[in-house]
Amino acid sequence: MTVEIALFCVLGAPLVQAALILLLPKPPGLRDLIHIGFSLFAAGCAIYLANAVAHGETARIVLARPLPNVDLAFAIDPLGAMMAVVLTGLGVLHAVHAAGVVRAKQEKAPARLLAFIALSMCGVTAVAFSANLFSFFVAYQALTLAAFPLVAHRGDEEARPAARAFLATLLASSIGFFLPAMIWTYAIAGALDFQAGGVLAGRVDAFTANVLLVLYVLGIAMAAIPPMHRWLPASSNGPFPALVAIQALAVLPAGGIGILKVVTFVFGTAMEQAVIAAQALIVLVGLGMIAAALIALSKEDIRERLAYSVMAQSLAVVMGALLAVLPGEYAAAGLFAAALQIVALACAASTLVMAAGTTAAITGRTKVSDYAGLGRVMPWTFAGFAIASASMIGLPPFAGAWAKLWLITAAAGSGLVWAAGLASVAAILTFTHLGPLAANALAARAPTDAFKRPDGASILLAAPVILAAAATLSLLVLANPLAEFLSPIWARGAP
Amino acid sequence: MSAAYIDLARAHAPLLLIVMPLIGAALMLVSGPARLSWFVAGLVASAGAFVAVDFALGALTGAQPVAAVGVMLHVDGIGAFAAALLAVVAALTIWGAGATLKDSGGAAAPLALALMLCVTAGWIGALLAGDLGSIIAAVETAWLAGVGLVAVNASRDRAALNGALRMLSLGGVGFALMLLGAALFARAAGTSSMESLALARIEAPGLASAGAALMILGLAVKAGVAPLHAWGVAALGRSTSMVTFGVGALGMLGALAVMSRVAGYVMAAPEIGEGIQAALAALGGVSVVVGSVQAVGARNLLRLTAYAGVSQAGCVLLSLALGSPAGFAAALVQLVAFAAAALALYGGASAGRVQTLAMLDGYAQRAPLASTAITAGALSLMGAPLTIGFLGRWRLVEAGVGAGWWWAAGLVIIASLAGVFYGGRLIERMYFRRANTAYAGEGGVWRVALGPVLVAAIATIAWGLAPGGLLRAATSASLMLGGLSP
Amino acid sequence: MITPTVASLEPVLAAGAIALVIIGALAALLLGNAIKRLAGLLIAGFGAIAALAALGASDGALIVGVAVLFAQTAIGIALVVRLQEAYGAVDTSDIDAADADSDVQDRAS
Repeated sequence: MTVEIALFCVLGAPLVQAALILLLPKPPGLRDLIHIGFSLFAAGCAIYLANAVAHGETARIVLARPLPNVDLAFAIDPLGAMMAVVLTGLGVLHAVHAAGVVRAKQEKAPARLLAFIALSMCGVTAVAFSANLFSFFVAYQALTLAAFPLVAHRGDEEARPAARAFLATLLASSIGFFLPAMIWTYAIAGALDFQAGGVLAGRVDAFTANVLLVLYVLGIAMAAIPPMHRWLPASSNGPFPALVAIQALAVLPAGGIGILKVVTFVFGTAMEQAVIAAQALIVLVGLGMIAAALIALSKEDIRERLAYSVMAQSLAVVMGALLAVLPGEYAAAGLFAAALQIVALACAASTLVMAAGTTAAITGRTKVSDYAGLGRVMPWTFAGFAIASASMIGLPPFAGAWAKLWLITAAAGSGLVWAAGLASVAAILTFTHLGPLAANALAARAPTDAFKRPDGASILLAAPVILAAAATLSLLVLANPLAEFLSPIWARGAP
Repeated sequence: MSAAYIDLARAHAPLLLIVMPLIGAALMLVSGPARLSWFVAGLVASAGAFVAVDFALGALTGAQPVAAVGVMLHVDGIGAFAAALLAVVAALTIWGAGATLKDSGGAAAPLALALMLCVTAGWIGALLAGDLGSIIAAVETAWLAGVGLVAVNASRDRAALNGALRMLSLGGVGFALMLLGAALFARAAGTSSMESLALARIEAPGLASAGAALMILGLAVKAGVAPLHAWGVAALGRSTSMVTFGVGALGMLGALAVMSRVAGYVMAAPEIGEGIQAALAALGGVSVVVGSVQAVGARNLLRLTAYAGVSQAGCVLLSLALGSPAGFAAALVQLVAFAAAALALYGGASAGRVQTLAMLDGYAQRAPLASTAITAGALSLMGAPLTIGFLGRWRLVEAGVGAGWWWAAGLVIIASLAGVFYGGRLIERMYFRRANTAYAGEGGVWRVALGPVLVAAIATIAWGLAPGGLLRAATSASLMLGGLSP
Repeated sequence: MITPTVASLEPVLAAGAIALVIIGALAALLLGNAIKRLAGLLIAGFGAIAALAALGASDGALIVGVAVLFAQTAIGIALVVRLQEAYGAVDTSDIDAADADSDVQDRAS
């Protein structure tokens, strides 16, 4: 298998997966086998690509050429490869978990649900491997359209307005802000390719850089930056497998990847010109993190609480990327923090939402107050829940801790100590809405009428949770190798 | 020997493009049964499309000389490009009309087909005419044929008469304005011949500006540009597919194409170019905003499509207003996008006799191909990437940014955002709602005639993937505004 | 005695023709009666043709104008007759009201 073929496979396999699932929805075993099998295949291709990148290989595939100097192209780079490995790897666990939830909850139209999950994974992989702004824009829109049916899946009176809010916010912001910024960039640079050092480097004045940064950041609404975050809580009433795709593995991570790519490959050293906008956005993002964590505390429904919690964490990605304002080693630290945060968030959020899904499937409970003592009757599930919560809070040795450490380092080193303060306050508030919840679940007296299902959680429902939780420990040993792996893309020195 | 005939046909292609549909129209009146008439009309339109595309390819590459045959014709880049586009659209719509002949009133169908062919002949004639008077005659031929096409629908729904009256009233005013404008402009330029206009010396710039503005205003009425578009909704809102195809798609497309051609000539004169630029920009801006707002609020699919067409027409005018070859090329690309989206939406609606948005509920299950066409049209109107609609808007924004017209870029974004709302609504209803059980549904084996129309529309919208040939043709056409003399 | 020449009359004739066009256009757009609208179209059309003549257009252009105006009038008269037969009225407010009553299917969506 050549690298180009592997790249083609990692992008194309989910499309075949979705088509086969829709064509062969029965028997359920075959459907689930296809879903899990193709997820494994995609993950394998992603690992192959990451290995190729580690050995210095490159690959680029061009699918179309719609405009002069603008290709619909996908290419491998360290950032994209790393994200693809993490997301497709967790995607395998999610595929297994989704099979279990769909059976346990007798979810309606399971084939359609799994097919659009596969398409969403295709979308986020395309975002990760996009070679230029145009390809990113296409992949972003495709992901929006693929995830829309996940939000609308239940088709009831709650789902329809939520789906409309989801689609309207994401599409409107991408067309209203991102598209003009992209065309403006094309007018300035004559091309849209992602370049180390930034395609705008040395080509923009301060005004243009500031305006462009604001347009790009607001245009990537998948990163849940206020006021473009409405889609996230609106989508929180969907089925749990859909929530994993939206909050942990596809939509939200795509936003973070987009911000990171724009800052690294579009602005690069031109970020120095956008200091005002960057600092204003950091304030917005920091306050957003705090507000989201506070709102999460007020939510009784676990899905809504987790939606706001992951929103706060996603904003930490944006903050890390924006900290790359000033030149020097701390710029790279900010970008590295953002990359680590995406990884940590994907691991932790997928664990939390899968655990919540398992709980809902087995006990029928979705209220936070009903979680007390459930950890005693579902130890594996809630062990995973607790580990993921610790990671979200930023407690070492879990993944989230390393990301936040780098974030604070970057903030302090850039002279923006107040940014570190905002992040720290948000972390404390995250503890308030996740810590007692996890502790109560594990420590309180076990409820006597816990299970809806007499046989408890099947292995399909429990194993993915604990394995995803184990992934949150991975950064303990992988942080340095990841830093080396990503170092080629930081134009201004290694973290 | 056949090669000699082919060469002769090629040499007189512009004349054939006008005469063939007129002969076809005459044949309709003696064809007899509706199905036979439709078949003959389809053959005539297809032959015309073939000739037109062959002619355009030859003209735009400079490989094809043309000859005068006693009728004053003047071929320029925009004329050749748009004539080919119109001829192809006409062929597709006439074949597609076979799916709904009964809806059009079986006995009146031959008359309706004849009028559609007259509409085609008129607009193509206006694109190839050699002087301003001939352009006006051809435009009015097409327009009055369109009025007749709307009125023929009256046996099914008397509201068609109201629509026809509005078309006639507004169109008549447009005619008077065009005629007056042509008189003023010809007086100021000293000639009304298109061939001479490019090099004419404007003796009275004020008079010429007024004349040009009036001509463009008259054409804007025909094109349904806001705020002169009141006839469009009345004529199309409750019409049959033949009317939506003939007037909504062909008619508006033809008017915009002729407007592009006339604008190309009048804006070439530096004495009056700025004034015309401002007029086009103002009209275009108003049309984008008004059309977008009205499309967002529409509850009838045909009206929604009409309003979306108004918005798209505004984008075409903005492109023309730039006055540069890049602007004209962008206008031509947007004409293609407009045609594709109109075919997709009107065709998809025709397949299921859909008129209101409520009738779209669950449409994806009942009519998958038609739903795909409507989805493709909606995505193109949104300006979704990899569609022809995106390409047209990108070219406009790129040209606008290059000229410092940031406000034009803003208006295009507004049009796209509005497209997200009303296009998204269509997609949501088709795929995520259950069918209305009270809906009678479509039927009839002849619905399959819409298949090629829908496939062509989807393929055209997907042209955004590899538009190199289209972009080259549009660029070539825009650079040939001086024209090829027959 | 000063005899007005053709050249000096030209602006006056043209102005008069333009005035006819404006009056006719306003009548065609604003009046409620279909027959009056048709009359307005006729006036506007005549005005445009008169302007053509005043500005020295060729005979061909004049013929085109007359022919189109004739066709418009013929179609307009046919439409008015059909409107009377279908609606029992030629006033556009009555016609619009009758259409609005039958337009109930849109309110269901």
